[in-house]
Amino acid sequence: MDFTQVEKDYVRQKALPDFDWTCFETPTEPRPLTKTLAQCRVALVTTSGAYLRDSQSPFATKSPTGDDSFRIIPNDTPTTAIGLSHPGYNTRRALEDLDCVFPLALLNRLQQLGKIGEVAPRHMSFMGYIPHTERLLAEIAPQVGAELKRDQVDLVLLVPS
Amino acid sequence: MGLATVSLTLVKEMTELVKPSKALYLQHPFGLTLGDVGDAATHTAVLQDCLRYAAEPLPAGTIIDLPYRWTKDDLRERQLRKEAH
Repeated sequence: MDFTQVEKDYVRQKALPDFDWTCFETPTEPRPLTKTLAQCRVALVTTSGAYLRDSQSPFATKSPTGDDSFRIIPNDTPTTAIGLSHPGYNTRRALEDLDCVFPLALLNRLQQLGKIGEVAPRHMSFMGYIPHTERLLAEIAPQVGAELKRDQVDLVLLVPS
Repeated sequence: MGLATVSLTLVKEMTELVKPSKALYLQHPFGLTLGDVGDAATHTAVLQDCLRYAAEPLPAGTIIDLPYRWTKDDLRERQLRKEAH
């Protein structure tokens, strides 16, 4: 069973009759680490729909065109201050243990164990249903990349949901 | 610009369309990417795999099959058929 076909049929039937996947002909060239892991600053990019309950709005989960915005999650955020808004999975289950989709606490534990140099001061959060990717690719992803560069991040771990 | 990245993926076919620089495939349900609620050992193992492969030189577009499988129930299979959330 090819899930890409199942999902494409589902989105076309429920929301966007002209939906199709954004595809690339050639892979992105990996950028090698220039330091040991014990020297690296590591950030997370999650598509779990994580947001700060008290100061950020949830992602739009009812829109047929999705939501291509992102939220910045400071690393020192208590996990109890984080909400999840996403139409594609059971967020209540993941809220019981945020590490399932957004391993913020776990990454900080790995830092304490000396597995990485340090955790980045900020992480980036998207909601994974983004059927129209033009603005994401042209504007938003470069903006997120620039924010991560500003934080002098060496390695980004992308965690879907 | 460029940043070193490692992407986890739950759907290999989707990743083959997007072709990120380096991806790790694991067969967990949506919403339980690193493993079940409370399964800290699996969460830790998955994240440490991300770090291990981040440091390893691999050809562009490599998708590594991680050994993690969801055996608790049929949630993943039902999700892949759009029969469960």
